[in-house]
This record gives sequence, C-alpha cells and structure tokens, in this order.
Amino acid sequence: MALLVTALALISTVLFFLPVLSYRFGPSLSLSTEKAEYGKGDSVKIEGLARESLLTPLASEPVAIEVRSGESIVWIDQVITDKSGHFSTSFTLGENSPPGSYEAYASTRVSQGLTSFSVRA
Amino acid sequence: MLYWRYGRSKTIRKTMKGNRLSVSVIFAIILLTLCLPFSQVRANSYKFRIDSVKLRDDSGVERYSYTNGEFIFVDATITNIMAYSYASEPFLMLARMMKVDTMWGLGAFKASLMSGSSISAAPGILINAPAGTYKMTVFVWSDWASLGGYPVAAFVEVTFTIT
Repeated sequence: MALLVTALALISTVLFFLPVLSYRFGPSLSLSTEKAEYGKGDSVKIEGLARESLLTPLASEPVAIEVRSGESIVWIDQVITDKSGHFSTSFTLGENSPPGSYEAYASTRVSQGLTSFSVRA
Repeated sequence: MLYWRYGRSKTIRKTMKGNRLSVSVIFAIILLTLCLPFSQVRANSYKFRIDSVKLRDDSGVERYSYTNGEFIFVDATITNIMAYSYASEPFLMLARMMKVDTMWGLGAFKASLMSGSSISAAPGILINAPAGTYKMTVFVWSDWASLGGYPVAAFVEVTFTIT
C-alpha cells in the first residue's frame, strides 16, 4: 500500500505540471529551407511540420505560406499537410529578385512558423 | 458499502473496501488525463467558398488572352458558408499570377462578409511578363500569413496566355 501511495504521489506531481508541459508542447509549426543562401534564378524549397500537440500531427490541414523581402511579397501559396503533418512549397527566384534577407511565414488555424534565408547579389 | 443495480430487477449488494474504490477512481482519472495529448480536435472545414473566377479586361469583357501593358482583372465571387454565425467574418482574397513556379503578379482585396452573403471583387494586375501560359490562382485567407492568417477557402485556378 505504501508503494502504491508513493506511485500515486509521483503521478500526481507529474499531473500537476502537465498543463505546463501541454502548453510547451501544444500546437507548433516548424519551418525550414534547404539552404541558408540562394542566388537569383535559384529554386527555393520551403518545408514545414505542423503539430497539434507533442504526439499528434496536424494532418490534412490547409497552410498559408507567404515569402517577403522587406515590404514586397515574393511568393504566396496554399498547401495541405499530409498525414504526418508535413508540407512543402517551392518557387523560383526571379532574375530581378532584390538581394538581402527574406522571411518565409507559414500559418494554420492553430499555429504559425517563421524562417529566413538570404539572396546574394 | 456500495449498492448498484444489475440488469432490470436484480439489486446486488456488494461490499468493497473504500480505499480500493478510491485507488480505482484515481487511476481512471490518471489514465484519462494521460490520454489528453493523444486527442484530436478537428474543425478545419472552410468558412468561405469561391463560387467563380473569371478574368476580365479593363472594359469588363471576359478574356483569357492578354498582351503586356494591359490590366487583367480577376473577378471572383466569394460566399460565406458558415451556417451559424451572426458576426461579419473578415477575409483576404489573393490573386496570384504564376508561370511554372515563379510569381509574376499579385492582387489583393480585403473585406468581411455576413453568414450566407456573397461578394464579387476584381483586383487588377498590370501585366509585365514574358509571353507564355500562366495560371491565375485565387486564395481566400483570414489575413496575411505574416499576420497569422490561414486559409479559409479551397483555392481556384484558371489558365490564360500572354502573347
């Protein structure tokens, strides 16, 4: 009985911190590009993983993707996550793409993600 | 002492130690709580529908062949299909002009719609692109993705040419 009470006390402690863990591992969206730097005319592939919680992928969910260079919008797309929560989009940088830092945003109804890359002159 | 009914008419009286019952209840609560991270709440049905997309020139004539220097107007009709909503729902309509995988133009229109209502909008794009076959894709998002907006309608695509 003493062992059982100890086990219950330990589990209760874990449960006490579960809301914190759930918040930490709640909906998330990670975003990345294959390279950190691209040249004009290069193809840029953006990949992401959307999760509803730590162990649950956000499957079959529409994702809005937007790539910006300062104030100008370089690319937009709308894709659907697969059963594992993965999604991707790719586009080709125009020959007149301005050099500098680019930000890629992805957004679902429950999560947002951001990554950046640069375009050399 | 614990009493409960068994079947329709029989009443079974059973003795159970109180602490054993408590342990069972606590274990049940623990199991249910541990299952929470595995639960899924699915409600990703779209709020809007794109009814039609037509390309028009600056005279309003529907046309699918253009030349450089012309304006192309993306005439889209959007309907709020939410059944139970009394508030006006904001949306952002985007028209992307694309050849292969390069974006050559973008039009945008922002408004809000009551449940069951429709609206037609026609953002214009000035054509400055090489000749070829292009796709005009219309998206409806809740806002810009950079501001946390997400898709609220399935997109619609039409093809046109620049000569």
